[in-house]
Amino acid sequence: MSGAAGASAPLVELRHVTKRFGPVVAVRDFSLAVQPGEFLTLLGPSGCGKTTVLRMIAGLEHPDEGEIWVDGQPVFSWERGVFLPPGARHLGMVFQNFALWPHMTVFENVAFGLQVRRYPPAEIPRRVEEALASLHLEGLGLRYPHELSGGQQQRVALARMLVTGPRLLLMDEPLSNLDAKLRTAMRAEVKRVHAASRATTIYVTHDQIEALTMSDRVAVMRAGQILQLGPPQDLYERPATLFVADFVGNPMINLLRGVMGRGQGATGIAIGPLIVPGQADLPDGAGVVVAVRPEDWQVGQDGAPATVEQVQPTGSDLLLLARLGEHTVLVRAPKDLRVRPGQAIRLSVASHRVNVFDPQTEQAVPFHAA
Amino acid sequence: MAVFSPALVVCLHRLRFGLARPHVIIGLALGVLLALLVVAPMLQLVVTTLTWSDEDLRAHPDAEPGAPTAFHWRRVFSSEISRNVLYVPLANSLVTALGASAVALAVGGLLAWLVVRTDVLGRTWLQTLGVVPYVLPSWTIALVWLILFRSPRAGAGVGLVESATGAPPPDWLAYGPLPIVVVLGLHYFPFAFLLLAAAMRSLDASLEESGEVLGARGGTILRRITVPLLLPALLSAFILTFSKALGTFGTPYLLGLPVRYFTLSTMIYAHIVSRAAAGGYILALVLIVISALTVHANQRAIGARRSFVTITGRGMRTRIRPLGPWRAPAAAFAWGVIAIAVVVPLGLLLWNSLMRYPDDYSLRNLTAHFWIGRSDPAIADGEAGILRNRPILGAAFNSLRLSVATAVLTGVAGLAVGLAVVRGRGTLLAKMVEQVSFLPYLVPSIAFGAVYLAVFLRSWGPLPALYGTFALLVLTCTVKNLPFASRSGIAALMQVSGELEEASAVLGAGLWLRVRRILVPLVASGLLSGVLLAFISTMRELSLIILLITPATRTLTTMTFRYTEQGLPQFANAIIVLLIALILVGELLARRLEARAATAPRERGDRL
Repeated sequence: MSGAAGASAPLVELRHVTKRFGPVVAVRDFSLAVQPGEFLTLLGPSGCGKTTVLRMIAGLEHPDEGEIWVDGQPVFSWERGVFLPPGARHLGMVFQNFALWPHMTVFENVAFGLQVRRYPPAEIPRRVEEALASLHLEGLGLRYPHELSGGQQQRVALARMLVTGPRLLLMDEPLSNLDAKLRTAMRAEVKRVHAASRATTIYVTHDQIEALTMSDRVAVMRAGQILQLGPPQDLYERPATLFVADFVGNPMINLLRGVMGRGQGATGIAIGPLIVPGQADLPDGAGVVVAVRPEDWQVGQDGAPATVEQVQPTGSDLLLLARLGEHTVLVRAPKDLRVRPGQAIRLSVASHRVNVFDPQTEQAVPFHAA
Repeated sequence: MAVFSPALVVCLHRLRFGLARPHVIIGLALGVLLALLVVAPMLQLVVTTLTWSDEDLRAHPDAEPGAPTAFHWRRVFSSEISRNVLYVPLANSLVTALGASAVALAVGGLLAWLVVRTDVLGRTWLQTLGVVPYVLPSWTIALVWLILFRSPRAGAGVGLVESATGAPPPDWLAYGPLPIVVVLGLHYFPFAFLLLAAAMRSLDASLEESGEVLGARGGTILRRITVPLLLPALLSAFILTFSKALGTFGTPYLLGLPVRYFTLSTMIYAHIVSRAAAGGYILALVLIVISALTVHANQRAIGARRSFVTITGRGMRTRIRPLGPWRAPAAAFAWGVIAIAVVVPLGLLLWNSLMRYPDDYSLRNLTAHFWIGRSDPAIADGEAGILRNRPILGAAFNSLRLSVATAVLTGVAGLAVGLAVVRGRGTLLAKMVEQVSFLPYLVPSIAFGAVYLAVFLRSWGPLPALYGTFALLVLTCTVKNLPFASRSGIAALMQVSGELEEASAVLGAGLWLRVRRILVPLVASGLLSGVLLAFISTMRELSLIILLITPATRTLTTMTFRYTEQGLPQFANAIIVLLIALILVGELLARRLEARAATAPRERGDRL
């Protein structure tokens, strides 16, 4: 988790930023500090305000309240009436649809930023060629965007962003327009670009795999606010709210209704026939929601009785739909497990693997093995 | 800051940050300009009709110029002359406009269906030729009608029919509502053709096929599925034709006046040339109100339906229906329409322009005098042929520079409106600019001319008295063409994703650089169609400028008019042929330009 705990001053800082579109509050009292060199992802469903946050940092949207600082300078301040136009913020940005100019060649697209910044004309071809080479685009400079494949277009967009050497890179769902296979390859490319440039990167996506695989820290957003901010592993293992638990992780987490109680001599949570032993600061009989990742189930001799309803081999493992009392649960099992639909199995889960939530507040409730 | 109330501070911030955005500045500038050139003139017109003027002193020596009066309104609406001045012409206007729309919709709709949905002979050619009548000046076919059915009462001898049969054609065939309806219908059907063909093309055959699968018969499918889906296009075509026909001047003047059949447009003209302008202005207001009501009714009727015809981008099929035994009659109909609306008129006009005496249809009467002849006192009051005739060549030059100036200005204005509306989408300012730039569409051409005449006879606001100047013509044509230019500007900019511009803004490109290097190259070809339309419609414009023309600013269209009035149809017809030739050359040049703009990047890419 590079830079997350950073002692240095943040490169980007948003303080109490609010943005309204008419009556709709898109971003609400939003504060965030991004450390130099960090790769931070804003993750959330569409309409959660993540793109608006990015565009406010870029200067493409005007916040209605608050302050935004970049590199120790206020680029926007409501109080002081400061607003720096996008071009004066010296940042690079990749757009969702790449936004390559269709009437310019690859070379002209990449050179544009250098020309605008008045680089010496003699120097421009060399810099463009370097940028193209670093993204494996040699020899494509004279093509037009429509003559390139999706992956090549994406790399041109990256080259255009990098060529002026910005300290801050903003990426707005850059991979969402690529097919699944290319997306995996481009994830690696984006990581490599980040590692090579060491530029602070703010990345927006609704794809939690992208967020988990690429980021130093992830901010999960909903309704214009951050629900949880932390390293990917924290988000995955210790979601702070039901929403985060549900949104992060694929295949989806099991959310099961349970009751705090005492049974068979130990305290724990009863989920139908299954008892997860442990203690929480809740009264007996309180209803809770228990979140169990599919891979945390153990199929074996011990545990509660369940019936296999469906078997979905994914190749690397088996996904089982099993009936556990009144619940249908998703179980990720080893691929060599021999089960058929209708077969009776036993399921259990380790207490430290589950997350417990209060169904009213949807907040996590501390739960530990007795 | 602390002394200001928070609300005021918010306002100041809004203003300050708003002004930093170029589309806001452009929107504000447009708002001011449009208020000055569209909204205020209309108000000025109303004020003029409620005021005594110097003109009134002749009939009313006790009138006090400048003082308010309801006299003009009373005179038009409730006096012994109201019937002749207002009610009869109004009824005539409605009858001819409705009739012309019915003819145009029937002809254009059938032609569109044949071209899009059937295997009629020569589909691709029909598609191109079906638009040509619109390129011709609106009264071209009226002149041809006169060549055919003219009777001596129009001056200039008898028409082709009388000369061939010896019997004069009946008046109802030669003049009045019937010929006006037919002539206007034949001129305006391309609107219906274009709009309906586009709608039919975007109609997925599977929509009708699903009805068929469910067991619906052909008639039911047509009634329950096809027509409702085409209804928005049908209504738009109707409104467009109706409001154009309402405001047209040339045809009702040529074919109505000889039998004293007045429409509102010719009545407006009559008022203004007989120095009773206020009455003409009131009639213009009546015309504006009718036109606005129709457009409003159309929008209410269509409402949410407009969104039916959507382009999904998914694979869409249109089904071609084999006509079977109907193939020959269908082809005869389609090609007959083209022949009657395009080929025969052009042929007759050319022939007539080559005739020494306008009513002698024999071959030995042919002469090139009206084209290239030197001045000869024996012919046509000594006027030289049009290619040697200085005033006519001057008018040709005027027509060209007026059209080019209008086209360029509307192009710029269209781009500006597009920017303000598309980039400011959702803001009040953007909505206002969009609405106001649409307003000139509601004002029929002749009424628009009347509005500008009323306003610019004297100096007005910051503008000097522009009457009689070339600038006024340019201004009038530009503002009147604004709705179409704005629509093409908005459409062109809609296709340019905001990201393309933002990407350059992030790199530090200022407004001018963004417009020059990103926007203009990207929207040029989309904007060009609007510019071309402005060029063509200005070249053949008569109704709009007839009231504003002075001898110094004559155009080809007004010259044809003068010669028709003087009983020299050969000159009029030769000028029309010249005008059409110039329009076609202009269109060809524009298409060449467009093609080059479209292929240039590819060529460059291949070569390097």
